[in-house]
Amino acid sequence: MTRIRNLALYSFRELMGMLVVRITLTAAALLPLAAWIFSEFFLMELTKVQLDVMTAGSYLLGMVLILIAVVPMLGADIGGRLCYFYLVPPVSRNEYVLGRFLGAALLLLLLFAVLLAGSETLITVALEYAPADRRHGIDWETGLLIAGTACYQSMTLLAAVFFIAAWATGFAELLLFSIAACALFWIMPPVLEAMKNPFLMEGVPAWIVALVHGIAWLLPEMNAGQFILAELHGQATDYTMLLLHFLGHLGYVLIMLMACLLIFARRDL
Amino acid sequence: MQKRSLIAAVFVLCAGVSLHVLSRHYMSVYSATAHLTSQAPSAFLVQSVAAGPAPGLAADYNIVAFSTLFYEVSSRQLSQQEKMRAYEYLFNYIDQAQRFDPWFWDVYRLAIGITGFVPEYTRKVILLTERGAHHRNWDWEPPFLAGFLAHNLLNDDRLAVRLLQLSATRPGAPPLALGLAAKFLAGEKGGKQEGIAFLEYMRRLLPKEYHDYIEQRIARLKSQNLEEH
Amino acid sequence: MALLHCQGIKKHYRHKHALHGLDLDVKAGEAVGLLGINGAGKSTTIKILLGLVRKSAGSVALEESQVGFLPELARMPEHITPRNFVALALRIRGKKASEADAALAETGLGEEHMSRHIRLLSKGLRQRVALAYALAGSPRLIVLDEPMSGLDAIGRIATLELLKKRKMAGAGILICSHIVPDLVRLTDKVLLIHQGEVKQTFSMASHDMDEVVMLEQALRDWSSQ
Repeated sequence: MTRIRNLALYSFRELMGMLVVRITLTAAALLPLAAWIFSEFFLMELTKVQLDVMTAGSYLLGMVLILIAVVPMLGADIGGRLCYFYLVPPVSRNEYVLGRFLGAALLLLLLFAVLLAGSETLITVALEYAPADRRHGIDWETGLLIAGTACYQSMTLLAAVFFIAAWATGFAELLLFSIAACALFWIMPPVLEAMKNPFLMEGVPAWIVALVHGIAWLLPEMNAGQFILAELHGQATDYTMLLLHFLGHLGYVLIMLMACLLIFARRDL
Repeated sequence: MQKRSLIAAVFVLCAGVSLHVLSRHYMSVYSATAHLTSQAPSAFLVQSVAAGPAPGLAADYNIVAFSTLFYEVSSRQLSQQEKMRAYEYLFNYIDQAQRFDPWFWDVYRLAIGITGFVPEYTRKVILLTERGAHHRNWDWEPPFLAGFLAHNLLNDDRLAVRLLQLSATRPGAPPLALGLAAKFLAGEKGGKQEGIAFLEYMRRLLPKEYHDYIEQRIARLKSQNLEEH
Repeated sequence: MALLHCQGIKKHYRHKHALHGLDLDVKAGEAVGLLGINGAGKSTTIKILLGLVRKSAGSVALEESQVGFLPELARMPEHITPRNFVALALRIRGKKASEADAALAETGLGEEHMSRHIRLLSKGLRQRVALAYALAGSPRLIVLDEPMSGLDAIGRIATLELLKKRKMAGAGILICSHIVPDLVRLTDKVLLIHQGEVKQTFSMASHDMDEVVMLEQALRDWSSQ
């Protein structure tokens, strides 16, 4: 356990040493300002627009941080044989994977703490100054929901990247499949929605429908944006659904991490 | 020890799969705007793929696109054909924004205030607003405004009464909503003064960029009034 | 006492047999050298001993739970300082991170380089950092794959002295190098590996030029076969 903690803190420090990480964190800190500027194009629900930007920014920055920081770190470990330093006795392969994962997760937590602070600042200003009809339904909980859902959805992506790293032979392969995972996670919920459209699906062969559904079952539900949208307009959050959504992601993280541990323990480095 | 680790790994794996399947099973029926997307045109589907997990921002994008196009339309001399094409785009932006975020007030504000006055789109805007009124179930304004448009521009008092009655049931609805509903139900025609009052209200509701457009309409109604007198 | 004992290690890849039943022991206070041409199986042997590559057959017994390892052509973590990098090795080996500076200084890394990111260091300085990582916390078993790579002459001599000191202190050293004089100066025995097998074992007694010539001749003989 101590070794996992040591590796996690080391990984966090290593990631923080990257210029791109510091730039991303700065971007996250400046996101409320960008959201505020963007909302000037609107008249009524300015806070909703600002928090829309925070929501989209949270997902994007989480994904960007994984792709530009965690993927190169793992790529160097696997492709550049850097893991040889960390993987000698007494460190086991499981400890190495978990340590690296927790280090990257710590970085994501820091990112979402910054984003949470930004969202709550916007909400505070809205609650203080905006007329009631322009901030309908927005309260402290909204910021927490935005940062929280973006956080656990990013953790799922992070676990998927670790799963890919367990069998990828180098940085290029890891990057390629990680981008593919990001793209699939991103587009699959709308594609599934689209498949409910009878006009669109009229000419699509049944086997393609079955295939898309099959792929969708292999992927997590990255549609927490629906919860946030409802919350932003003061709709009562369906906590049972939210819990299910979270549990689904927790399950996915467990699957990915376990698969990663099982494969990584058996591969030649 | 090796065997125990493997059993633990398999146990965690099974737990993960169970949680994922459980969530997938129930979440697959959950989507707040599913009924809107199921009827969507393919252009919307392309946008929704790009929007991914951020539908709110996609709705905002459509509103910004609407504003930008409207600015272009109102600041240039366009032929009637070009104008109609532009209005088609304007309506599509509003329609797509609603499919992404049916609770968004700016959608209805712009739909009623701008696109609603284009005869070809009046009924579509009213139906869009009526759909939205079911989402904004705390708000009396969208059905009220749509009801007035139905009466004033479509002369469809059955539709107007339905919308005004819906509005009257909402918290904070003005007594005017019920009064107008009763008036239309009785088959009385609304006067031009009411139309002017409605447009004045819309002017307050819309940002400055749209004021010229509304004022032109007010002026037109006022001149009709003078001619009648 | 053997810190490392392995017997009959075999490694088969899909189209290639890399090792054919290799035996190896490293005792406390002993330095063992692995010599062979490129592709002989030296690095594969080391990787199998450390569990980085899975063996196809045979047994490996590591009596020592803490191993210091310097990989060949090591790419270094770029976005961390040598101090933090070596601190990790110390923490993993249950030592205090505050010993990092001493471990780095021991390999000849100046104070001014300890708090700069590793990416800003030259190749030779990086090699010193990698060596400090392997030696930090005084592990009882030290495995080195081409440790002199990138070092200047002074650095090589200093490193040899440092390793000799560790050997005298009771550490077991397994070293793989193409530089025969270095092997002769440091090791007690050298295993000549060719085509995945130990072909000859040489005891180093005098550590002089004669032994260098003997090893180079044997290497030439086996590589021409």
